[in-house]
Amino acid sequence: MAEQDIALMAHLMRRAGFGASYEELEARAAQGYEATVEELLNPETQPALQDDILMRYQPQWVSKAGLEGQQEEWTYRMINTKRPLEEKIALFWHHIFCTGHAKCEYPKQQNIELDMFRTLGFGNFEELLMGLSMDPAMVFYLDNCMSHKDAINENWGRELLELFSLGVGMDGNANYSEDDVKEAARAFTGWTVTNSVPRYPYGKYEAAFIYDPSDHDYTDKTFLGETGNWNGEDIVKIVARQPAAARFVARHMYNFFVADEPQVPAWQNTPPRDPEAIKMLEDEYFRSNYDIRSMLRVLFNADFFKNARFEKVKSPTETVVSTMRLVGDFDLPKPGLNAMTLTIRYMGQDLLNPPTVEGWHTGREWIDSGTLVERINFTADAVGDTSHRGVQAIINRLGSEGDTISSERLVDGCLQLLGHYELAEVTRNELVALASSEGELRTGTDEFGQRVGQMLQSIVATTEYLFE
Amino acid sequence: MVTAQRISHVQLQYSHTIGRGEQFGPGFTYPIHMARGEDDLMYVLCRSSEYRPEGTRITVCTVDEEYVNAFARGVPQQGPHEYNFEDGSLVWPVNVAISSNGTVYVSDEWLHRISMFTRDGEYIGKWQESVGSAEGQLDRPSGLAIDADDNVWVVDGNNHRIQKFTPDGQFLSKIGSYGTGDGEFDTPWGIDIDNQGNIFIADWRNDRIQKFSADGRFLMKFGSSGSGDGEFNRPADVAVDRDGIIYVADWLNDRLQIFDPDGNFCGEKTGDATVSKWGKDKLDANPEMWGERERAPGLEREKDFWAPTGVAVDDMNRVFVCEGPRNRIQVYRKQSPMFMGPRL
Amino acid sequence: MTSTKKDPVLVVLQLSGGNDALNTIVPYGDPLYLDNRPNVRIPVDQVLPITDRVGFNPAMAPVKRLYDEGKVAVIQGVGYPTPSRSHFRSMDIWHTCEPDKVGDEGWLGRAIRDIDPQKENVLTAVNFGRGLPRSLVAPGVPVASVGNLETYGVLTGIEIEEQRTKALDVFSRVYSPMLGQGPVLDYFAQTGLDALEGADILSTAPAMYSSSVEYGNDTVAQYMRNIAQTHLAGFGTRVYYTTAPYNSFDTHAGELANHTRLWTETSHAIADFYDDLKEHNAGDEVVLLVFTEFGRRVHDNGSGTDHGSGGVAFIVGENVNGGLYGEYPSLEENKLLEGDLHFNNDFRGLYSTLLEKWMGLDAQPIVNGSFEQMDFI
Repeated sequence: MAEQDIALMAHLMRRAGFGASYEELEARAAQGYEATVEELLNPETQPALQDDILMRYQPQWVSKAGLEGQQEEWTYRMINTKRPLEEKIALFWHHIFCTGHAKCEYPKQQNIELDMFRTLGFGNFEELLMGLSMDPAMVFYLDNCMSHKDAINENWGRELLELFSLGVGMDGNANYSEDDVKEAARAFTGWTVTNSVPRYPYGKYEAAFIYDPSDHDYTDKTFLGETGNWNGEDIVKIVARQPAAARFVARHMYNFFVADEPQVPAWQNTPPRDPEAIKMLEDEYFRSNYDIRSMLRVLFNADFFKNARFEKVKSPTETVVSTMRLVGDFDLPKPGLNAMTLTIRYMGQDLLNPPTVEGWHTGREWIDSGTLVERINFTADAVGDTSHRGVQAIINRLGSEGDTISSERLVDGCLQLLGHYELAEVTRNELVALASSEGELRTGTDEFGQRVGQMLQSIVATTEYLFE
Repeated sequence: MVTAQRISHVQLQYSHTIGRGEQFGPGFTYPIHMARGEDDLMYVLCRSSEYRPEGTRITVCTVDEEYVNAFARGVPQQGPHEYNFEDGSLVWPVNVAISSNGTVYVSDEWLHRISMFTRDGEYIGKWQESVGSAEGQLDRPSGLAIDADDNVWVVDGNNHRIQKFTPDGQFLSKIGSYGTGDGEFDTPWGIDIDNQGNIFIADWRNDRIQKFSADGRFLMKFGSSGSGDGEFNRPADVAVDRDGIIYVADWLNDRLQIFDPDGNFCGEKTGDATVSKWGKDKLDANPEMWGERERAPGLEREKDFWAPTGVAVDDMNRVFVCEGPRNRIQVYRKQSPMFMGPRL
Repeated sequence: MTSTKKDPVLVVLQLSGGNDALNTIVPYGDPLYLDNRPNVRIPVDQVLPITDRVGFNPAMAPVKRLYDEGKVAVIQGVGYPTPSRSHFRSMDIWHTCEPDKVGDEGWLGRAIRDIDPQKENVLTAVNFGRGLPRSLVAPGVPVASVGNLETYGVLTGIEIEEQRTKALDVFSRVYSPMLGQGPVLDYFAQTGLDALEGADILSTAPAMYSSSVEYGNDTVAQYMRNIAQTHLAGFGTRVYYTTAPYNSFDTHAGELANHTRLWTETSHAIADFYDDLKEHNAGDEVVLLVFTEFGRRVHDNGSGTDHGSGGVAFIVGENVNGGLYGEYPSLEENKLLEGDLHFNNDFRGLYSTLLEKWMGLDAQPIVNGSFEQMDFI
């Protein structure tokens, strides 16, 4: 197996999933790159997790009544899924279509939303926006249930355009006007949710989306230049065919799967990092009739993707989940899941509870001195624990290379088995020197395992390892 | 042998609901199982969750919903992999049973141990703790039942077998192994013993109930996967009343199924919950919620069982079903099929 | 501006979960208190009286002592319009000063930016506890977050000290900002060095500290001790923050026993902290704010109280003009807000007072408006 194929596979699995062990990378590289892309794009070909076992040992996941349990469950699913892109696409849309626990009547409602992302999230963008418009968590989060024909609330109308479909502007121009916001809000009057059963004494039940025709504004609206007696679905249809929608989806995909872009609010005036890549994705958006899966297929098979290794800062979720997958921890439900999940919050990403409807600022903004310490210590603790199955595999593999291995090989071998990480020359030299300072490396000893663990700890503490 | 006429219809009359969601005091936090004690007492095992370990406890109350006390405790996490598993603490408690002298046994499927408390909640002792598959060792123990000699039967979930111990935890015998054949199990969960000493097992992942004689002989089985009459979706618990009627907590079908002594389906209950006494206190303290309840469509969903994991019967023909996700126990009363005679 | 010699320091203690105001500053002279609390009430004869109408919970004797010395301001009826009974949302409002929309910047984050705009001190603000409360979050504002002062640092998982030293040595060199690596990498390198520097400095605090005050073993007490240790070490930290364990004050049930324990621990921690600073002649350098996200229901639920509104906050310090501030909200049924105490004191006025009169900052942009200030400083 050519190492460059494995390196490319490592890149694909980091971006389309949450990383993979070296053994899995070898197997997938043998299967082929395009075949792996197809498998990832068609998650239903892989087995689902066994929910009965999960619910038996984590019974609170049945009622989904609290944020912590929901975070645990999703993290667990990301770590253990055989359908990594299914969870990754849910995370992608959660980054964009934010609802927050702080303004959610019943946490299970967010889980229902995630399930929608797992299915509609691969499909037609227009259908996804329709699903979102009727998602009780979103209708409540953005106050559309407070919007009435004689007193509109613009929140949903505005965020649908600004944050969920078009963006404020592109190429220096605005994508919509304040009037468009108002007209969209009017078109969505009557889109509401049922009153919910209060929390006491036994707990909540999910609310349902309902359309109340008596509370809908039936007068004509002029939206993005088109006049008619528009209802919500008309607004979604008009939105989905805008060039700005194609740009919006393409840039978000690029930012999430390929390379860090400037923060979203800057997009009106800041051109894409790679205009040609964005153009390819925009073209596919229209060619495929707004099909997300088709766009992802173009993206993962494109050179701009393959050449973008380590161009993206890992999010806290990606950091924690990929580390657990690498070391092979939490592959069964067990206590400690809560503490492990909380580290994602400590690193700056409170899953299912983003700071605002704008979601999280990504890229370099994940890192400050506090979150950096959390990140380094968490990953270093995990890879330094030589009892973990995945760490054992790395030790055994390096140990099988001979009776002794050189300091250079220790560094390079660890980098390779972590998924072909690359270090600046100066950093690599430092690590080689560190390894040399401890003397000769004899494999097959207890000390060997420890020294591999320490080298892994030093590698995951580098700036390079902050990227994926 | 003369066979009594088959009881084709078992009438369960809904009585009342006990509980409300609460981390301390009157109320439950994910009640996963319960046992009836003396003097109308109920010992309700609250699983709670890792992030609310203070809710992990045994709540003692009466069938009439008078709060008595709570004992045992959850384990707060000290660090990513640091716990203080003190004696008497609980991590993943799953089942509770009470012996004739009032000793309360609790199984813990994380610690692989059985803890014992007095009827008043004082810690007495424990067995096991190290996972294993040798005779007498446990791997994720779940259901517990106590026979007429006060021996303790433990469902040894991940070892796919049932083990019998003396009251202080000495191994006596075992039944079963992994599989789908007669007398084999797939991750069994609940257990009960009838007044003849027969053993009933909720063979969880095989979606069936199996019955054994007291000496471990396979007697019968019933049920298959599905949601129709007599079919199960992961049955979590089983209970047998003094007339031999069998009740099954049909977990993911959100119902209680009722079978005659031969395992013939004779009815189901999907729940009839009403506002409990503690629930009323809670709503009275938050009066706007009474109004919210009136406005909310679909309030009738509140009646329904949601993932029941425990069923128990007592000598007064009362049937108790606990539902973790709803923090409550629904109580039914079996109407006697026998003529009781007129009042004098 | 105050006349203290050293820069003023603000310490915030957050009581998470919603502290029951009625059983903290108890309106024992009001018959409606007894009516509304048939089960969950403090016996009148046990209340530590302040006036003939209100008094401290009996577990708060250490705070009462400081109150009697004139060092505790009790802020009654504190809250904000249209209260939220959600822990998350209400805490967010206290953190961001945005009751009407979801805000992303914390009030202290903005204050820290004003105090140290050039980020000259990596320890201008220190949080004790893991993860950063939103009150301290603002883009580009670094805050050290310390889970455990005794073990705080980078690569703490390398157990053998000699190896950790070597690894940290390598770390400090590979994180040196190198020209030409690009702005992102340079930023990461600088951030790494800041983290290392902060940890190095902080790790020296415990050894520099000695005190005759013995704090309790509970989390709040230990973190208050850490704050004293860090302050007395003189690292120039201006804002400290710590939080009572997650939702610990959420006394839906078993309130009497739990609330007593919570306030026994919290009162001792507050008084020990005060005494500790005083012993080191630093009492006039620090003001402590104690707050919670909401009060609880006026009527009890049989064994506890549920989420309500209208809370009580405390300001403690040598420079504080002690006393009762604001009005105790009425318990009369027609003056309640959906069964809750009606606030009469906007928390943003409380913040403004601390920011302007104590910290010497312009409060208006930090709390998003002008609010009536108080005289406790």
